[in-house]
Amino acid sequence: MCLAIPALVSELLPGDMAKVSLDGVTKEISIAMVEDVKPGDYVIIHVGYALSKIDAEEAAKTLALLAEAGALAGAAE
Amino acid sequence: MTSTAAFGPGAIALSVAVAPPDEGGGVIDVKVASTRPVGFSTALFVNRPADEIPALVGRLHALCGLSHTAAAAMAIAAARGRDASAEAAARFDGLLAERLGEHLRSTFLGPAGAPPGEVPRDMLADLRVVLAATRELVTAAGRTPANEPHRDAIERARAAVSRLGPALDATGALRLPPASWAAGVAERFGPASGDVHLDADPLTGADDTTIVAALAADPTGFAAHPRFSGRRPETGPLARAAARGPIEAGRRLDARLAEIAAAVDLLAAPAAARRRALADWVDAVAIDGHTGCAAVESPRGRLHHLVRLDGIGRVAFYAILAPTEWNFGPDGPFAATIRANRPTADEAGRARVERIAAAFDPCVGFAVTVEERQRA
Repeated sequence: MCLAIPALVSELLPGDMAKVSLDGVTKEISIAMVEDVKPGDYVIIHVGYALSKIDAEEAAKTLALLAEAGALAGAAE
Repeated sequence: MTSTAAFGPGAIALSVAVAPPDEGGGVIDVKVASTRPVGFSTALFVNRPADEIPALVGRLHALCGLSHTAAAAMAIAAARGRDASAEAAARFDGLLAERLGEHLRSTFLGPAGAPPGEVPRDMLADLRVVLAATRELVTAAGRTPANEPHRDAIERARAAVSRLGPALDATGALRLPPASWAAGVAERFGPASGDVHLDADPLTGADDTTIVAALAADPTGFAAHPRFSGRRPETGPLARAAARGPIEAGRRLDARLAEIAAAVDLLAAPAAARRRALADWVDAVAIDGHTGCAAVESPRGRLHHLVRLDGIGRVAFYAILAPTEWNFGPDGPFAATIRANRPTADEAGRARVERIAAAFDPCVGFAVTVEERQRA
């Protein structure tokens, strides 16, 4: 299963590429599969490609869930 | 600052050890090491109201989110002693769209396709059209009254798939126009590749009773490492095709392309045809008065969700068994297929392993290494 971790688009690059911030780490990804991506958008990533855009509210909910899951996992260790 | 690091998307490391040429070559060992998160659903869902779970599980999965949502809704309905089929029926157009979009995208990406920069712009444009249409249909699933199809989105997807190539003739056989994108994919993965493929032992609905019993007895363990004694079940497009009738094992990519064509045809078919097809996609069963299990034929194969509810409708336990666990198990069909091939410890051998892995289409990214090792 591939978890949907939202990444914040920080910069568009040539060749349908973009810089995103994911959990504080900057990565370059392809945005060739999704139209109209711009800085400030949240995207869901899979193997280096943006799969879809999600709105900021949805992204915040998902990040909160994943943070909760991470905290639960940490507590269990 | 909160961190999601404990639950990254994960990946699969595929490590193949081969004997050197002076020892005759051949595969010595295949290791499948996964960092995919397992068991997070139990940690996250326990004590939540069950009605929250279908939306939550869909949001958490980057791939096949609607299949997860449908499986959750069906398992919860079964646990409550209710009719689970309505949950699937309300989302069936979305499930069809999800299969279409996932298959098309995974075939464009990685070894099956070509980097986006190398894909002709018209083909990339068609891919985008299909993905946008399928996202629209997936988002609408379960929300539109009476599952009213979005005709415009369906027609846009149908036209773009037609240009990309895969189509079914009147007998249901796959047809690929020469020089089409799909014909090129089939050529790269077909007999000319020299890859050896093994016949699939398909995982089907007939196996659900055994799976449900195993999941109920050991939900966490079986969900992480499913296995049947004496069998090596495969799930996904080739397995679904093999369950319907004979198909050459080397036609794994053809089976996926055929499902792309079939999904777009079904989306455009009359509602009665879609209702008939639904029976082969989903199932759900009540295990006892508070436990339910559901199976959904997700794009990459049969997906199982098990839920146990407490006395006030909250989740007491949750387990998800994903299709990749079957196909990429330590002694699963992928590992067996690699053993049946003779990859070499060079670029061609690595490409062969990568091509075979892409044909099995795991739900997370993967990295391949092929190294020589002396036989012990």
